[in-house]
Amino acid sequence: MKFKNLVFILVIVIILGGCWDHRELSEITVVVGMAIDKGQDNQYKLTVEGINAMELNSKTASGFAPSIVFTLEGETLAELTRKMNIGISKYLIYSHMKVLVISEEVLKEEMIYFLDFLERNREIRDDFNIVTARHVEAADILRTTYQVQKSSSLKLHTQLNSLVDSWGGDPNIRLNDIIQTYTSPGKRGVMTALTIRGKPEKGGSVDNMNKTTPDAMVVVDSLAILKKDKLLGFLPIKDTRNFLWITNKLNKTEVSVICAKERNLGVRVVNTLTKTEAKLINGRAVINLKVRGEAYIESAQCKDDLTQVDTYEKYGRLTEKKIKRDLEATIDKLQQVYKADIFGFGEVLYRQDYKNFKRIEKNWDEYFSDALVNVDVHIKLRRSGIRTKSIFTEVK
Amino acid sequence: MAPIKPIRRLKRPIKIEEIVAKNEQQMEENKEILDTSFTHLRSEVENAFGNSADLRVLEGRTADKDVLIFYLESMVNAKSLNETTAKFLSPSHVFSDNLNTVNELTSYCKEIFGGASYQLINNTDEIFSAIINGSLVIAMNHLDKAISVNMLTDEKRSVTEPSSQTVVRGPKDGFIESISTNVSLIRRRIRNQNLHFERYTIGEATQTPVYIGFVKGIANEAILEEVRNRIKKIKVSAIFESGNIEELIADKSFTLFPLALNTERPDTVAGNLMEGKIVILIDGTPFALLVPAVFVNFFEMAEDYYSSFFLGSFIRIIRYLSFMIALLTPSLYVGILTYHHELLPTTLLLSVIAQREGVPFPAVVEVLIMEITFEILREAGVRMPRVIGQMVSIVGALVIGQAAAEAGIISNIMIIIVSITAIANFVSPVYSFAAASRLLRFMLIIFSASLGLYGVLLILVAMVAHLSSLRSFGVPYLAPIAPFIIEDQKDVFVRAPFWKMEKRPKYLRDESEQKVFTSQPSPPPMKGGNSG
Amino acid sequence: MMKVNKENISLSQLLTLLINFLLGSAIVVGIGSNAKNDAWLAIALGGLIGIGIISAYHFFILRFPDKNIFQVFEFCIGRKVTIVITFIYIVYFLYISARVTRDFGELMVTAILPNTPIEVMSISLCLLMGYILYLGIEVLARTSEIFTPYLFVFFILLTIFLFASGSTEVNQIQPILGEGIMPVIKTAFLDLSLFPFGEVIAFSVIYASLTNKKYSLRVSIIGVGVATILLVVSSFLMIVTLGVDSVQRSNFPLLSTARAVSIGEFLERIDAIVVFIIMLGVFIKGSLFMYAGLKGLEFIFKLSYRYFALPVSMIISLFSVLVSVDFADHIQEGIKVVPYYLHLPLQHIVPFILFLLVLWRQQKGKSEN
Repeated sequence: MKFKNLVFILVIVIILGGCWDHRELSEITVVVGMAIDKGQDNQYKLTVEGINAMELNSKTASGFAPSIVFTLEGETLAELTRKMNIGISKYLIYSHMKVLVISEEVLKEEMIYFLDFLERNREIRDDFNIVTARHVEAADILRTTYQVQKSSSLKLHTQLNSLVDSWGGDPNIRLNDIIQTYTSPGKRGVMTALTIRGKPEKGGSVDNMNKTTPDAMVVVDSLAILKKDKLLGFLPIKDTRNFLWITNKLNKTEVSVICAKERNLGVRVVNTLTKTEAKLINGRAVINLKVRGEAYIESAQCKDDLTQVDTYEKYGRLTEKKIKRDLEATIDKLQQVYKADIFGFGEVLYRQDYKNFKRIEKNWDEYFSDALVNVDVHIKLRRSGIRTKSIFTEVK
Repeated sequence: MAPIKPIRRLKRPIKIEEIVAKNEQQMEENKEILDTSFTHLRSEVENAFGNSADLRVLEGRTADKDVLIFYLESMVNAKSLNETTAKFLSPSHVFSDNLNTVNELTSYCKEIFGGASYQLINNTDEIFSAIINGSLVIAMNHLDKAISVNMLTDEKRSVTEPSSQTVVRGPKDGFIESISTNVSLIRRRIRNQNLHFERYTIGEATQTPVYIGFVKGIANEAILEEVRNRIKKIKVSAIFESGNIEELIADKSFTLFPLALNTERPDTVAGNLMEGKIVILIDGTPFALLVPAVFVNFFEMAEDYYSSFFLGSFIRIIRYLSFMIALLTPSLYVGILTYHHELLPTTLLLSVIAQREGVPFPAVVEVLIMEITFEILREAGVRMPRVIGQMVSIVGALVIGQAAAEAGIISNIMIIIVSITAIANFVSPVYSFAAASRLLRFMLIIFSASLGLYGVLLILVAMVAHLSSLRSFGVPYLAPIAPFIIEDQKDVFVRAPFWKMEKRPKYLRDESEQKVFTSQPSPPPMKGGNSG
Repeated sequence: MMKVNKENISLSQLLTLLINFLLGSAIVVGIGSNAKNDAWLAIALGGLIGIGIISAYHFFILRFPDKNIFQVFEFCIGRKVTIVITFIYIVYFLYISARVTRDFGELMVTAILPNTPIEVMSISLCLLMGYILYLGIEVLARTSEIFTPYLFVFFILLTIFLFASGSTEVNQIQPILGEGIMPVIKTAFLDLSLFPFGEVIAFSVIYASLTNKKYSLRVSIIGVGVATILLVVSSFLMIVTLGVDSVQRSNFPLLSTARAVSIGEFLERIDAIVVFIIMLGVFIKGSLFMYAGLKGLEFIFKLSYRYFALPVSMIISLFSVLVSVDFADHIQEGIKVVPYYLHLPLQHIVPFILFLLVLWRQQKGKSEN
């Protein structure tokens, strides 16, 4: 009986003494974006974007800024994230982070030591986009408002996803991808680079949302190439698409193919699949890429008759050639100019020819730039929209 | 006979034993041969009934002998009273040399009452009980026996649709307060001589008739014997409702979950009897008890078997779902909103934050305020006079909620939570079972407020453990689920088509399960445990 | 009121107990990481060893259908010596129970409720275990029976979600046997045969309560088999989602794996839910070890084990906190000390000697007759 009372008291103590992790919704601000710049006095300058939830709800919105962007300098991100209340009133929660912007400078100076913090932290998930800011401060990316999602981070998250879906201009890099490039010898990292079109200093106001063409707008600029934590350079955005294609991450894309002089085809490629095989033959890496896909014609400026099987075949061949050229050009650029295996050919070799890869692991970069890459593209054109012949077919 | 004790006595059985002892003592005294001298008898009866206003004493004369007639006006049927007295006293039947001995009286009665409805009485005590049970007692000066003629009034309301367990399709009759009508409602559905009813009288003071009904050959003998034993063991002074019996025969009373199924529906009773259950009918209440009852029985309803098995199964799954919703929604709300923000999608989280902006209370206080308000409104809605009650229904709760939300005291989403909880709670076919989720909900809310979802899970596991430890007449409460009986799954979460349900539930008939029965299940051996 | 009826455990209950028991803390901390990429192969091999182990225990214990391991000891070497050995076993069982509790406490405090003291986790979980054992092993068995379907649903959903959200890359499982077969064999025999598969020694006290002993061997083997499959699947999921490297750097790999689930904008960050399902396994494993310890106490003191349930649960909660000062200490103890100084002798050596003794005694008994 006494013991029962004791248990009862224990339960009461647990209940009443509880609430250690209790955090009311009215006490928190949701952080949706983080930006990391190089500090002036300290190592890092951390900027966070905390959402003003009232402004995102059409019923409660009253025309104030949709978010608060606040910057602090310090040595570790861990400390900075906890110190943000120097300026922000409510407790910050990081579990809903959508975007992490790392400035060009930080990447150039090999300072991504904060990756460990991001990986170790229990709140931060691996579901935010990691991007870099080119030409502008990373913090400015977070400050730039936008009409629809209002907050810059929410906008970027949606925007990058839409871009991947429609054309494939974003490698959709997550924390785990970056970390894997760190730990794997056979893969180099990439990151989407963003920049601001317009005047960055005008982006951070509600006025920016009131214009059909905003004064400042965050746009996808290019693809940053990293070797471990060092920034090697930027590739134009069309190479991003090719990169996705080679690494079998492409959903859909649109290719413009020349079919006659100054006339182009618009080909929508869907259902693509890329298979990679890697072998080490006579001390040289041989990589076979097999690209398969289906496509349909979305625009045809040439005269060919699209009711004919021959035309389909001809266009198919043209498309294949074009794609092969594009992919090879991108691979070539990386082999010759950057010597960085962003495609993960090394990893494929590691998986398919483990023993040989182990031998050349240390010098993989040289082997990569020397590798023989065979690209084999096979695209099947299926249909041609809701018209058969092009209007130009009839023009004599 | 002791005066009827208030129902409060139920809780203190020790005092009742004293009364019982007293009664027995009195009975001993009354054992002597009936003294039928009129003045003595009359004063004895009148004293015993305290000159009750409805006690009638008539003096008459037949066959040149004086006759004294007692009855309770409130208990006898006026029409048959007239007939009986007329017959008995009618000169045409009577010869002056007649009615000199008990034997003559017997044959005389045979003649005029035609057999069964009369009885000879030997002592005063029997006179009292006959009068109480609605008989006419006829005493004659020169005989040492009296006659009682049963003419209990069939004063009762007519059979109407049950008020608590309604169906869209299916029989619309429900039990009423008269036990004989109830028995006939059941027997009309099972026209079989194997349907047996055993009569018990419970309540030292109230002498309430209680019937145990079962279908011989189907009902499990071991369980039946257990039911008989427990019914016999009941020692209280008063029984008015099945709830009293339910509590007294339950395997374990320290639980929120009902261990007997109560129903107002004769078709439910008939169906369950055919499954092998045992029904306990109590005079004076339209609720019958079905034992043994297991957890899944409280999600079954007669209508499941009347509609197509797809619909029946679907509705049953909806019921399980509603039970979970009624139990968990408020605590999940508190847990997620104060501990696990990350579980909400960003847009939803932002929208909830925007809604809760300016709400002065923590989420748990908000939930408790609304839940208690709702419980008050609900109770008020039940107790108020019908006409007013209509207005203070759920609509009233919603209106109050709306006003509270507009005043900024609580958030809009809270209204949704409370409403969905309440509506889900109403789905439960058995009212007493819904009470379990109603009460456990508050416990869950409190634990959720102090430990988040971990607290919710702790209570859930403890609840399941508690349910696993329960037994209803020796049958494990979670029977076809744990212990898992594969044959019985046809009628648990889904209702299989009839051609699939050839066998009665195994948990009611399995021999190996019966072996573990104990008369009163032994609670864990802790000293002074208040369970069991 | 003191009438204690014999408790019955059905075969399906034994099955679910075995599955939950083996998943228990193994799924929390992750196993077989020494075999790197081939952890799943090592687990599969370990499962075969596990089947061997459980068959051996089964063969040995069921020579005396109504006796638990302590009573068998008594039969072989007399009560006095047995009490000493039983005492060692009690300490061992309760210690493992405390470790399991600690595993879970660490998981909760690290991942879900960082500011809550670990003591609260221990006390609340142990109270629950104590309450259930106070209600009896039957109740534990039924509880496990009820929750096991949810475990399977969870596993299937997690697999579907992970593949649907595109977080997996199946070719990360390659190279298979890149380092040859040796690491796999080594892991299976040196690590997995002790933890988790050797721990089924706790079931040596359960078999006595089994109703149907005819199929018990078959069910035990199926139980270990199913648990092995689940462990292999979870190991596979971890590797294809996180990559070997991340798995090895994770304190709680399954948790990290579940974090990767993201479908649409709606099903995200479900790791809190995953933790709660992990909790069920942990709680059943802890309870079973505690029950084994309680049975030992029952044997020594000749008092129903239910008397000890709540007090012992409090002892466990205390020791789960005291057992190690920090997480690294806890893990290191689990990897370096416990397997060789506790698991190996008590799971394999002592029962084996005992088995020889039993054979000898029975042989002697026969020849005397």
